[in-house]
Amino acid sequence: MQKRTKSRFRLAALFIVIGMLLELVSFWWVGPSAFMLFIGGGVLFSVVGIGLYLFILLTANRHKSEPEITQS
Amino acid sequence: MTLVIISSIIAIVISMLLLLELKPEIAQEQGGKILAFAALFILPTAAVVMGSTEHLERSKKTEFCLSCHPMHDYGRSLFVDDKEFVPANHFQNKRISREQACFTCHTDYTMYGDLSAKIRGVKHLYVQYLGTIPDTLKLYAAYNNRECLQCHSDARTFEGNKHHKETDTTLAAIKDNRLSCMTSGCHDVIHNVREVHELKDSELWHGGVYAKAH
Repeated sequence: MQKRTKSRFRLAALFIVIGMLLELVSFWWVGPSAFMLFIGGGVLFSVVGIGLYLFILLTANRHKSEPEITQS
Repeated sequence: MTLVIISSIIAIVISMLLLLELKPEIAQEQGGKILAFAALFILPTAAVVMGSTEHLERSKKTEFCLSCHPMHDYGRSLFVDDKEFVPANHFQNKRISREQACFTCHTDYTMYGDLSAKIRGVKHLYVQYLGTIPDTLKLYAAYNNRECLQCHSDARTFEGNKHHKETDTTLAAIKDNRLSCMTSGCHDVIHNVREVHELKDSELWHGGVYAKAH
């Protein structure tokens, strides 16, 4: 796997981990501030991470489907 | 229960991602790719969806509504020791769920109404944290009898009440929302926060498990 793809996977995973942790913290109390932390922190980071992961998958498949050009 | 499931999902996601970080060669195999897909897409998506549902349920709770400072006197109005106060009467006699007291009567408010109501809910958050809170809070529309009738309709005390049968058309007018339940002289003592603000804590009802907890 290319180094660049690997680092992107790591970044996606990091965003998701941060999103999940913020989501977990948002359940510690009841109130609009908890809801805002969930939406603005948990959901935002998670969606960015998931989006980045899907983008990597999409571009990885696109690179695979492109024919290799060989010079004779 | 939902919280346990969400917490478990989050723990599994973090564990799986740690595993992939420590042993990246796993991701080269078919099973590892499926694991990565679950850890980076399926489970986080499930956590977000379930988390949203959980927060939406929490926003129905009395505790949620009363957590904002402007709601303080509205919360106190539930403990007024006067049966003329409609919310207090309902709350203290458990005619509504104490856990969802506000939501039971204000079911179409902000997050639970149409799109415009939801946008208003977001605006409330903005005003609460960044804006200027007005001195007097008002409903956006006149209170609809529908909210009363969801419980009182077809009840003997409602259908048989002599005041509701004052004329041949009174009852029908109430059911059609042409005559408000809160018409002056009828059930017109609601939150009355200006009056409640002047009351001392010792003048409020201190009974019930809810009062002790809050």
